Amino acid sequence: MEIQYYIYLSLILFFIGVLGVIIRRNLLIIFMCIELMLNAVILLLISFSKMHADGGSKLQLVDASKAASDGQVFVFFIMVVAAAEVAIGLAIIIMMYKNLHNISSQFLNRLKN
Amino acid sequence: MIFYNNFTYICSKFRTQSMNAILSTGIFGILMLLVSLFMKNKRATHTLALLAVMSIGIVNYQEMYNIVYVSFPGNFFEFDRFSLYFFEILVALAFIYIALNTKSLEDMNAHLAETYSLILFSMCGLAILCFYNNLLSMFLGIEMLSLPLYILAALDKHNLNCIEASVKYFLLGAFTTGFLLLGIAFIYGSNGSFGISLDPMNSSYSFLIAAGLLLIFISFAFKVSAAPFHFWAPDVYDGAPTVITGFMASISKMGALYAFIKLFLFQSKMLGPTFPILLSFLIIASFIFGNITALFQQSIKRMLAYSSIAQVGFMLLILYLNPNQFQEPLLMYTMAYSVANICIFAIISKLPNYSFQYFNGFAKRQPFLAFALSLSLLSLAGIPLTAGFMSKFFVLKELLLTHVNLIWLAIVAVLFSVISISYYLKLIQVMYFKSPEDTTTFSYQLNLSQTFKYLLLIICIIIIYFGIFPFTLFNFYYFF
Repeated sequence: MEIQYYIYLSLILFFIGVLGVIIRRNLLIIFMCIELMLNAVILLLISFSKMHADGGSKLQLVDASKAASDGQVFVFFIMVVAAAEVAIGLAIIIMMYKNLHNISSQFLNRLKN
Repeated sequence: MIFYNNFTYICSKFRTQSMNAILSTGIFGILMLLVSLFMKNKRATHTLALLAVMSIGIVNYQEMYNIVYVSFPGNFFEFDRFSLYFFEILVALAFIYIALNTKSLEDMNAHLAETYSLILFSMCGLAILCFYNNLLSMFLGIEMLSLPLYILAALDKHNLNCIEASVKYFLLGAFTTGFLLLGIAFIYGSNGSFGISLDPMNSSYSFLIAAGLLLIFISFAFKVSAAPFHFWAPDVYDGAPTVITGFMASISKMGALYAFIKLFLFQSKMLGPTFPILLSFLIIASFIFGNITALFQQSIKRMLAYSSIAQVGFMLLILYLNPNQFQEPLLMYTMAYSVANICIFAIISKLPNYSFQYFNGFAKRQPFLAFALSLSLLSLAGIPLTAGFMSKFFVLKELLLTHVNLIWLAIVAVLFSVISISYYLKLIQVMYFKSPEDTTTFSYQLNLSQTFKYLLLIICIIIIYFGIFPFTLFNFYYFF
């Protein structure tokens, strides 16, 4: 199977995430869009790691058993970091909700001179 | 048996590497967390934190002489002499930072030991960033540096400014992490490995490498707050607790800058002739946004935030240098810039407000604080006989030795640092030559310990000493 479709899919997912971060106002949605960006990268890394089996780069996917392991190991690290980010991010958003009773990014306007 | 053979094969394939600094920072961070459970004595906690930083420094120093406690196989890290020395300087700066700010850290939050452990975790990220040799360890280092900083920026839980700063810092930081990861994935796609020595001949998709490097470049520019990716910095520096701003603006920024330099000094040829153009765009934008906006600020903290953006423009000039000559300017800049910023933020974190009006006649009320503040500001401005002058001098000297055709950029840099003198001197002028308009500001008594004043004196001596004998810093690197 050809790899292009995977690359297109993950790039589309990534830019949906970017658009969401730029357009949406709700901090939780923004946060979900950031997670979507990370997951798009995970998909990209996995498909590249399948492409790089046997040290080649033939634009073809191979069996999972033959896939290069570096990219897949990286994916686990991304998951761990994303989990840590969720823990911190949700705590910060909850802190904001407790003080402002709102989680819209429109309320982030105090620090403009 | 097969497993054992495999294991020895893997071990023989990679060099073993010691991780004194990385492990000890992590272990001390966890230790501080545990200590917080049963040690309520604040004085003991301060002492423990200082001892922890000191022993990290000792362990790292021993590694320079190949005294290794634990070693692992792998090629994630590269422990060259310069990285070890650079991290040693960062540890020394962190020691000064903690020693100066013990009282402010204590007043800011009830959870003192946790604050220290977050600072130590963040230093663990700095250690990884100093020694990384792989895109995976680079990514982990950046995250280890940033994640504790997000929490530290949010420590003042009921202050609305602080909340806004932390939300902005966190969301924009996580957003750029996405771009960093996309860049790494592109490089992996074209190269098939996460090594940082990218070879253009080897890969059939060099445009993917270029796109990946560009994305990594943007996210690093964000991390060191170079314009046009600086928009978060003034808000975060302004809103975050002042003590933490001192850490973010000095030590963590220099660590991120070293990681930036380490990747792009060696790999910039992959971006071809566009790289110098991109870099000069970034540098000039940082000069313009930083210096011009800093002129019109009413708050000292915001002014310092914009001035740090301008300083980053100067530091990025180091990226034009050759791999064998970037060391001296980087060391000098790290020392001068961080020491001055630590001193300034340590002083202003003791003050009740940060407007220019508060500083009217400050020299009459607190002559010594005003002197230390002025000396640090002069050092940031780059007045001769201070360390700041030497740092700018070394950057420009090496730049002109390498690229004579970049003399226009050197001239622009000097012109903008002339502009920067005006806003640094504005604060000094307010402190020394204006009389306070209302007497209410007098009523606030500053609670300063003698240790604080002696440490400030030591910082003043450091600033002047390295302004006169800059080579001492390099002698340690070359000969000891």
